[in-house]
Amino acid sequence: MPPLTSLPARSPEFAEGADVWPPDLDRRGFLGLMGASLALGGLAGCRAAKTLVPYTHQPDSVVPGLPSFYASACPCEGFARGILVEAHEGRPTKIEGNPRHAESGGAADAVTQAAILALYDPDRSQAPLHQGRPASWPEFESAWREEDRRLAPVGGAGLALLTEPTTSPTVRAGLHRLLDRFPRARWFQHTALARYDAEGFQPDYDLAEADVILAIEGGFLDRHPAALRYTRAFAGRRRVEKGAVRANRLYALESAWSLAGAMADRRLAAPPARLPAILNAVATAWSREPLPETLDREERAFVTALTADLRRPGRKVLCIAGDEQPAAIRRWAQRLNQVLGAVGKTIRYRAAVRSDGDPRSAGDLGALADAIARGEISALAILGANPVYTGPADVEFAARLARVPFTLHLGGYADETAAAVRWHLPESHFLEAWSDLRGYDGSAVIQQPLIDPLYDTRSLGEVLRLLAGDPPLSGYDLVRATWRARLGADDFDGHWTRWLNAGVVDGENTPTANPEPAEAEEPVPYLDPEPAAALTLVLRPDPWLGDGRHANNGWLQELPRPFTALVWDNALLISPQLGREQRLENGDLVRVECEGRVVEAPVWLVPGQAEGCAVAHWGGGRTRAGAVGSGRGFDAFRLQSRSGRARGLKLTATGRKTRLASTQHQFAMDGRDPVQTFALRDLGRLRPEQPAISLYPARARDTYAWGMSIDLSTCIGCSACVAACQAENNIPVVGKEQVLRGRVMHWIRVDTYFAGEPGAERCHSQPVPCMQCENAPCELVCPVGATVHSSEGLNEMVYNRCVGTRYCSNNCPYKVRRFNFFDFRAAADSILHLQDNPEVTVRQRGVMEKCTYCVQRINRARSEAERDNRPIRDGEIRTACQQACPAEAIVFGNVADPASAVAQRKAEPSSYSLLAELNTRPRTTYLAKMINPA
Amino acid sequence: MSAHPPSPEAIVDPTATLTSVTETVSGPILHPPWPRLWLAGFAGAFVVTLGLFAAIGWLFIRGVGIWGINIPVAWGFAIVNFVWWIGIGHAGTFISAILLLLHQTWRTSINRFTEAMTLFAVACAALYPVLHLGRPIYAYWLLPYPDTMGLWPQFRSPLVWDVFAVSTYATVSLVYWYVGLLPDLATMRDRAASTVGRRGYGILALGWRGDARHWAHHEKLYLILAGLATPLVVSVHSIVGMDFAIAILPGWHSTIFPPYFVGGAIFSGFAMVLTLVIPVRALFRMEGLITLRHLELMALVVLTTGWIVTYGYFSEFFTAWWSGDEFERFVQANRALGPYAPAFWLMLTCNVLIPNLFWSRRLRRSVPVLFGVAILVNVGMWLERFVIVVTSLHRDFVPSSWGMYIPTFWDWSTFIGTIGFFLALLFLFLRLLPAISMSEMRGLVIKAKESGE
Amino acid sequence: MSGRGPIFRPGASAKFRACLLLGFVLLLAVTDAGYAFYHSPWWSRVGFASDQPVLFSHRHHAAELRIDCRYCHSSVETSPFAGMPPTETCLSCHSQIFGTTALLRPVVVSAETNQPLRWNRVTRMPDFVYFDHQIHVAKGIGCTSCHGAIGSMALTAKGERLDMRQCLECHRDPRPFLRPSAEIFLPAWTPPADQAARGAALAAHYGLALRHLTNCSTCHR
Repeated sequence: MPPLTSLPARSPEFAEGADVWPPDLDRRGFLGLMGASLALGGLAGCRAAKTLVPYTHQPDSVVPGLPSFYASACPCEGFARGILVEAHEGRPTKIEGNPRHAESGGAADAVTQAAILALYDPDRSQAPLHQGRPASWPEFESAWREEDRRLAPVGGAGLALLTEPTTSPTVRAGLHRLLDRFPRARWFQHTALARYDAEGFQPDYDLAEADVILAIEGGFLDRHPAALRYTRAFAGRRRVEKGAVRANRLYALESAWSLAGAMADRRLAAPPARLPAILNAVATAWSREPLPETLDREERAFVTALTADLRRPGRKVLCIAGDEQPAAIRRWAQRLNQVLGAVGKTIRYRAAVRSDGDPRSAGDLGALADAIARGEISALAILGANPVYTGPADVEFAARLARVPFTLHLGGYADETAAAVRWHLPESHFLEAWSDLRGYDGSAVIQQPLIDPLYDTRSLGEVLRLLAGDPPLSGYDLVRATWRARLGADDFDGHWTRWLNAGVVDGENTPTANPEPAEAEEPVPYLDPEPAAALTLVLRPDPWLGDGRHANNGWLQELPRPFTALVWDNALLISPQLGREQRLENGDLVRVECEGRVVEAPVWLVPGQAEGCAVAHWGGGRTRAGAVGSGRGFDAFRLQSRSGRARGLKLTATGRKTRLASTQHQFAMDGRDPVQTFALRDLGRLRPEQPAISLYPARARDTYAWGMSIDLSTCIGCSACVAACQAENNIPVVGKEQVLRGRVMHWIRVDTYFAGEPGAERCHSQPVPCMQCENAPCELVCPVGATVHSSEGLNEMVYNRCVGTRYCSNNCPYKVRRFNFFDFRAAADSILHLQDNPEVTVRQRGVMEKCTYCVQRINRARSEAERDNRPIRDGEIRTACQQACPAEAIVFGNVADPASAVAQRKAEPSSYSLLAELNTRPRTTYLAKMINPA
Repeated sequence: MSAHPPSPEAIVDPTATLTSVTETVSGPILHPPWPRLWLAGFAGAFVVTLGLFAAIGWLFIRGVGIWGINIPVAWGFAIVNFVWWIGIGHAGTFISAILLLLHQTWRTSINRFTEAMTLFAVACAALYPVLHLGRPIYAYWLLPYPDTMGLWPQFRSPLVWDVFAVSTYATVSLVYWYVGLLPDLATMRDRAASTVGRRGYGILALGWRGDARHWAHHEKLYLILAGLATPLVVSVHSIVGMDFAIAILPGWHSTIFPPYFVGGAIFSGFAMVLTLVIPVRALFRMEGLITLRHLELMALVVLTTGWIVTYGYFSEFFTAWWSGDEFERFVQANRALGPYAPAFWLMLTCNVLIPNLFWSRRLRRSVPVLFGVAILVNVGMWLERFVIVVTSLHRDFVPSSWGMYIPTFWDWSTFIGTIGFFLALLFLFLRLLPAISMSEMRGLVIKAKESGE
Repeated sequence: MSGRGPIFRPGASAKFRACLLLGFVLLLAVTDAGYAFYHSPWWSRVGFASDQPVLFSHRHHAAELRIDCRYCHSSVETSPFAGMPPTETCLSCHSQIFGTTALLRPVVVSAETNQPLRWNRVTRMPDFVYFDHQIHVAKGIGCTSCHGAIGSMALTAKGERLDMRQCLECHRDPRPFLRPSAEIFLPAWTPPADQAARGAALAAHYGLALRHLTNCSTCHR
């Protein structure tokens, strides 16, 4: 990963070299992506471009035809995720994890990977707006100079800044610099997403050590800045290797499904109102007192089993409280950890990395709103946040905003807030701008741009400097200045280059800090019981859209949500029992009323969700997200209150229905057990699967026989593989209408199954790519030989030979084939084509497609290996899905080599193939899911 | 069916003479005014045909996505209709070839008509395999020809067999039909009043003068073609059956399919003949040539083949149950109880129950009943194909990928469009060519007279 | 026969038969012609030179001046794409010689204005074909095997048909085309008399794995 010296973008060579540089960055491409394309024929462009356009001066970092990788950082709730970005002739095409960054470990979650699509989003804000009309930066600068003349004399009194909490040293320095310039100015911070470190310290879990884990409302496998690191560590304790595993045991206590809940060995679904009672019971049981009578049978059993396990000697235990939990419960968990002696063993506290607790910060959105109400604010700069949408309903921020004379907003999109301010300034995408970030573990990363800003945008750092009235400095110089100050001048450039190469700033970790000392004998605090509420509303960030910031990302909108497989819309999730009581079915519109706040939302029934609660995800109901994200689903923020409390929920059916698009319609296994599970104690009794006998001779094997093994014990169902596949293989987005018709295009899907009795449901996730059968039913029936078997066992799909009879799909027992029913490609001149992977054909209308085991990566590796006259090394080829997987659940390689990792996994007794009775001999096999019940 | 007519009455109206035969058949064609009903009928059919062209145009512009098909149900109406039309196309050759070889003289008055029906049905059927392709312009890749890619079709695929089976069947049927037409074309040539008519029929008649040599050759050729056509009756629909049987899909993967499809084809074919013959004989006053007995005999064929089909259904269920294969069992259960159950039960009613009315001589001799039953059998057979194609696909092996198939406006318009196309062709045929073989009828009349005296 | 006069003149049926025959012959002729055209250079464009911004002669540079292919097509040994020379490469010589001639004006302009030259492709592969230069030259397939006798082309033209059959021919058995590493970049090459023996030896020397060469995914993905 060479440091980026020159940015090839914008220069004419790049423009031509990329072959498709749209004259106008219009939106037609996106409509095309959404399946609304009316493009005729669909037979266009099956020949290479007519002209060859070389560089005039070729950058040394670029070898035409070969991708280059650059290390950078992707912000996740302000924290850094180390990434490697693949670029072709200076055109970023794919985001992958950076193995050298602890918070990534080479993995990347779905949201991170989808950021590449946002870079090319035609709906991005492209120029400043003055009261909604196009303006220019110079115009704003003069306007600000005027404002500055007013503010400077009074030391910035009346000036307020609103940012999201940040970990960037450069941004923080910029903010402080600005506050120095205007000492009486006030800096507020707002984020709808959970705050980890407001108390000045943040817990960090060591899941590799924990033997018994109690997870209250999830909170470590999903929606956590360190989720990737935690997942890897957790998976290490679930993976069966050589028939052995040092298994941990996970207890999940939650109202709605979390990824942790789905992995739990024992799970209790209880509404939030019951949490205090149950937790108190845990405490009393721990102190060997009889359990209170108020607990019902399941609760009682759960608490007894849990405490028994906690007590067992020699166990390292850990209690995790979910991010959205009230302070009381988080404090309870913290104390429990101290009482159980977990601190220092399985949980460490480190000084806050993010700026939430910054002493110079003047509070949150509520505080700002009050200040405005008191008429103390005359100028407000909203930098990066979208409070008009993400603000709690009872703050009524939009109304308050109108009372501020001078308002400006910096953001990547002309969003709801942009529409309510005087000045909107377009912000650069993080792949376009220099900056720096810290990971949850405190490790610092230089955020290195891959490309010059596509539009007339600037980074937060640059804008802060502009506001401070300092002479403009490029983002590059700003970041270097920050780090030169920290490191001193000696051999700075040497370090700098090394940091950019590695993607991490060495020797940069925040020391662990102890939380306020607590005497060990101080008992676990008693939680005041909640008033028994019939229904509680649980508000959560959307798994993909978060607080709605990613709403205009087609990949994320069409990525099936865990547990519901819903796409394009959010819904009010309720339990089937509740559905039965209120006679509600999937898609029924209900009037949701909570403490006087009202919205209308469709319901969706989720088995295994606690009965006394309804879950609503943020991110829907955007009005100014863009062509893709506006008007999808309903706005759950309208139900949000400042206090975060949401009791006395009332649902009333409206009698109307709406069509919710889900990619899966049957969540029961129907006695077919596609997902096989086993209890840890039976591990010794497992017998390896015997291949079905056949009258036909086995296929002759070449030097390489590619195969894959997917470990269901470690797969947490995070869908990172789906996003990775979509980015790598130019998989189109088809839009809600097409999904409703059953035409989603993902090559790998994550199936969800609910098993077990009501009240004791288990949830299983199963990634299903093409099985690459050795006896492939699809090959037999294709009349033109468009899908054939390779000598290395790939079941190849030749798009350019396909005539589209679709018989192969009919005959595929796994239904992993996807068909281009329409021309799903972006318009020929769409900017979105800049994201295309040039190594993979963009499929046209009327052809079948499917998972190829990333054959382009196989070919690249083979070509290099053969050139150097060496065999392909094990692990040299990593499929996109494997590469992204934080749990390392997917292993790919040469099954003909018994020493290869994949062959080893397939040798596990728990290895099985899907629908083995059909004798299709899949090359993709599974490892049965291990469960570790007490 | 037996060679002896089940009722004493003659297969030709005793009063018929050579001239009356020629007159009844060629009259309506040569002497205007054309019946109003014909005009109305043709106009209607033609409009619907235009609708078909519109549907096809839109299909080529947008792609097969305009239909309700999806993953898992990647085949829909297109294949259902294809199999249905091919099935209908079976009666023609069956009647004209097999019954000829079996010396079933009663076939004479209807063979010409049914052969025409066959051709038109096959024409409709042949549209679908091309239309349903994702990239129809590459349909020719299914033909073996020396290309610059050095590639050939994949001959293990039943879809390739289809290409040969259907095209052969179409060709032979066409030739057979035309050869049978020759003497009548000559008659038309000689009776036509207008020069255009005379020249037109004259060219088509290929200079037929009706001398002994012509007749000798004609008889031989006709028999040979009948011999050629006979195996095709079996082969075509067997292969169409294999389109499904080759697949591993529960509900498709079954050895009973080829015979069961052939039986069903003849079943639906005869039903369609009845459906068409009954109005036509009324329209053109041909009751003397197509007598009740013809209808009755056809009713008996329907009854017989109906039971073949019934056996097919039974064996499908039995083998599914007997195999103990959970997927097979589920598919059968899902057909009877799943979301598409109505189609299934309606199918059983139409194909299993209704034809049994024909046990009663009175009913099978009542024209309205015959007509109604025929219509219902057509519906039932279409539903059979729908049940086979859709219910097998929509819930197969892995529960997570189950789905539903809901036909769209374009599915329906393409289907109805081909019906219009079929009728339009039929009307033209009735208008321009002798719907009954005059030469052969004359032969019958003479025989009847001889046996009469 | 009705009493009316004859419809056709005598000999009509003879004419009719003639027409039938003629039609049949015509059909054959048309099919044949189509087939011939399909397999002819007019279809495959072999030997057709397209006009270029600069009248560049491979014969002069590659054959007469013996400039190595890799001097301009620099990534041919490292990348799937052989590489097109950036303007600066041309100027490395032509800043010294002929820099002022009208012939080279476009090159100079390109350098001055930083606007790239736009060459017209001579060999256009469909974009679903993935050709990897580096592995071919690494495994003994020379430039001229696919690009034709480049050394004798004053104007660069497509040298081979490069249809799928030709690719397959070589992928099924590359031995007749294999060369020793030293001869890969020769502007002109004809197989020696003992190519059969040499080819086999070279295949062993390069360690060619043949089985996967005819997999579809070798070129299509």
